[in-house]
Amino acid sequence: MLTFQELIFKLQNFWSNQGCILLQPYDLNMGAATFHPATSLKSLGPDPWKVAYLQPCRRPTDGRYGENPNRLQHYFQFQVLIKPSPKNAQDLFLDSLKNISIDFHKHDIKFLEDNWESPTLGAAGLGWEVQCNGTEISQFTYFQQMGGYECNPVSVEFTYGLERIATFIQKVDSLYDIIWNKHGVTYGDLYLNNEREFSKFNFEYGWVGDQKEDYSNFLFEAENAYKKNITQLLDQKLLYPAYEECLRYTHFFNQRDAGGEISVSKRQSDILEIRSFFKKCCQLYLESLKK
Amino acid sequence: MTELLLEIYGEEIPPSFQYEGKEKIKEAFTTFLNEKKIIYNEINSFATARRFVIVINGLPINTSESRELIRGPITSADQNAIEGFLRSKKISDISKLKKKTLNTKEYFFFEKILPKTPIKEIFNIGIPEILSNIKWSKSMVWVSRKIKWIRPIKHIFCILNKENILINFEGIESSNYFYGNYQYGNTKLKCNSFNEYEDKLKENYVVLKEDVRMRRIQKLLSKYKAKNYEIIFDKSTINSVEFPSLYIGSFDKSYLKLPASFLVSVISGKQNYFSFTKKSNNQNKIENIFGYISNKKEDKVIKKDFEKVLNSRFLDTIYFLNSDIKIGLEQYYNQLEDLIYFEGLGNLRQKSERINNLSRFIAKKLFSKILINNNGDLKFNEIKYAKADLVSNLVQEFPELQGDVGSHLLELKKSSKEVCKAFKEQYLPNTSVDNCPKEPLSICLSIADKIDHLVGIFLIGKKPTGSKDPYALRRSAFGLIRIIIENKLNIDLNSMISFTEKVYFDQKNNLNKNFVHQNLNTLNITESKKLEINEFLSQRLAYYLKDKFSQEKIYSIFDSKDELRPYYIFQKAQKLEDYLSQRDSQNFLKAYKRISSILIESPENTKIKESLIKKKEEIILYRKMLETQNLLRNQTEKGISQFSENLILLNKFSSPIDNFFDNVQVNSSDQKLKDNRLNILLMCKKIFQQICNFSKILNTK
Repeated sequence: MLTFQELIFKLQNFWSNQGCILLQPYDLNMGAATFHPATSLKSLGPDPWKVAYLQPCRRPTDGRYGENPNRLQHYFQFQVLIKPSPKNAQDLFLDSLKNISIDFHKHDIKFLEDNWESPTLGAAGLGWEVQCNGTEISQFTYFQQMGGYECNPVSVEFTYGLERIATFIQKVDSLYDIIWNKHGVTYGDLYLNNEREFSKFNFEYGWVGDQKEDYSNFLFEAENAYKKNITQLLDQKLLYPAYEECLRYTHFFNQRDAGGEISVSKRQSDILEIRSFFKKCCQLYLESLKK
Repeated sequence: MTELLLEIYGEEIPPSFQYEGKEKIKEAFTTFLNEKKIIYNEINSFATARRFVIVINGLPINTSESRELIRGPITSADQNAIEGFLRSKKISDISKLKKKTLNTKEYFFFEKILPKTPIKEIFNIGIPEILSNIKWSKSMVWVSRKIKWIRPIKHIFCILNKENILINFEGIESSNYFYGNYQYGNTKLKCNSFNEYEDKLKENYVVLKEDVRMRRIQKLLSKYKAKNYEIIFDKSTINSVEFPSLYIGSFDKSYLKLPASFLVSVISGKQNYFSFTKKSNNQNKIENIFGYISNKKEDKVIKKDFEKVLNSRFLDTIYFLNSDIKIGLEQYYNQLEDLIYFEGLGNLRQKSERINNLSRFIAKKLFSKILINNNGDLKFNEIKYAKADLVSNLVQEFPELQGDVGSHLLELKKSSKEVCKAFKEQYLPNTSVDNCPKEPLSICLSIADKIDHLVGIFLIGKKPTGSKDPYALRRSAFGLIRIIIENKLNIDLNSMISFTEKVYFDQKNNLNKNFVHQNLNTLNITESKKLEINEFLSQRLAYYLKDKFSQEKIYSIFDSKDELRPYYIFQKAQKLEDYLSQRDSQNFLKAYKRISSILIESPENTKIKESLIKKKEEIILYRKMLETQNLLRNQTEKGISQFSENLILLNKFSSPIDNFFDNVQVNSSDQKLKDNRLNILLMCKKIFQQICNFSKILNTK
């Protein structure tokens, strides 16, 4: 039986053998591995690119105080991006699953239409949600657009939900019971407290009680500071620092969303604004390629 | 006979595109064959989750030679035009052109000869063209964006009478083998004909034809149907795999305590599971089993996994429900302040207050005895919480459960059945086949919700234009009208529009300063839009009635602008229809028509001089008219029975009018006499129109 860390090794090994550069996680909070510039920015432009990396992701609204066996606000994605998409993309993907003992001859693998869209990134792709015996384990997407720009050539992205896969392979009922290494350390040993505390932080801290007003003011000021900063960095054509600020601002937005701070209309206008920032980053990136 | 078999095999084709795909491919081939004047016997296309297949039989081995004359310029045209024509036909010698006279003018003609060609060659070049010219409603690109197709193509198999046809579709070359269901193996399969192809696919776990796939599952389900289970599933779940197998699993009975709507959402949500219901005591009860369509033959391990997935979804749902119970509708109600209802129309808390007011207003008008207490308030003060569940965890997870969640939370708090039902039914009817709410409180809440939406959107100037209706106002209006007519409610929409506007304006004037987010309070409403709303609702009502009555009849009974009573108008249309089906009415209409035709010429003086009324028939008609005029004037009640009686009244005019026309000369040489007689007729017409606008029915002026 594969442990969680072996699962990561196996995927790294497989994709490394396919010629992918193995990158390390990006050191900022992000909602999905797609936000790593090795995917978002690198999917643009004409040059071939093959990359694989692990990325911790955060979705504050998905926190469940460690009480739900299937949901986390902090989790791991294994991400692969190949440009141009190889002709045998699906076969490669199925082989990679076989490599982590998910054999499509034995299990029910289903590819269900799931057209992916990231409103904040201005990205869109066509593809599938991949289910194994009814559980969603992966996303398989052909990028059509990034930051509002057409992807040419097209990249294919495979995103593996590692906790789901490990729960499936190890036949455990709760992701906290996932065996992390051969010495019996579990996922829960490492992350249960993290989930409890962050759920409290995401849903309660500052949003209720006495701190509410202080925190409200802080959020308001922080929001303006981020916007100003991003605009200035973009003006100075400092692409990577600007991109990082966009990531920070996006996570900040997600946190506020979890706290119930954002109304429907505000959410819409904030998303449009974030998208315009990312779009400018993509534009700067494309310009830098021409030099 | 020659048979072409082409298979385009690739990554999973979403079920929603399979039908479009096979039809478009078939159409493209048919057009191609017709253009090339190639005869064939039959053309068929098929789609599965991984392949599109086209088979054409009865093709010739060679196309026969065909000649076609293409007209060029007039022979007297200038040199440039003639040379242009030569260039376009890729010839240099003018003597290759023929001359022919058409309508006295002589033209150049080019004879295009399509030589006898082996059909194989035609497809060799033609198929890539056919495929790349298909216009998809939605397609994608991959690798280097050369091909637009529904999903990436992996392989092309093409044979013409056993023989492989080599085609190259933007770099994808065809071969003489095909694959079965990849989840069962990867052998290269070969065949010599379509029949053999279909058999080989079957052996390799691919059911090519959609109806056969369907029947497979129906047959497996029949034993459940025999046990009186009702099973509803989307056929797309069957088309999502090439070898549909049925799994029947079960889940813990304790979850059956959840409301039926919750169970359906959990079971048939994203997972594409389907539920089984059984009738007991005249109620549909969901059973603790589910169905699932898989690509894999029945397997115990896989089945267990399906059950586990569903179980975890139930766990999640229970988690959401418990946290919703803990927080409660009161607290959610306060949170509605943070949720904007519509830019310019305030937040959802404000909407809730309006709905409460409107529900009370409607209840007072329609069901005062049952729903209103001694203080003049609604007996059920929970009505203001109708929208509170929109911020609940469950509705965020399952948006389709709006209303159901609020209803369930009230039920757990032992609220009365009426309110629970009203919460559940407030969004009905959602589609034209949905049932309308029937209970008094449900009716009030549902009407309140819709009229608030309609009036609000008009107030911020976003009325629907053309075919665009982004805020679903037509659906709201249609629901509103259906609820009123189906429940036979005597309610005037005009007074409701006025009241709703008043509620909006009052709210704007008394903005609660304690709201946390002032920016959400902005009610950007200015002036009344009563007339516009009335016109919109009248049009919708006419549209609704159009299914049941002819257009002329509908417009003949839309009367005064100060009232808009949909049910009354509906009844009038019915009565009018009854009336017009009687023979007497036809006589009256004939008489009416005679009056109308003669009144094309309008009389000068409008006052009738009694001294000029001399002839017997004239006097009879005039008296009849005065009598009716008085009668109508004294009618205070505008009920529907009055309308029917008035219609019958008209019959008594038929013979006086006929007698009048037969014996009295209207076009008298004495202008005064003529005008007086025309004025009598005009007066008659006006009285008739007071009852019903017959000109619309007769399509006259």
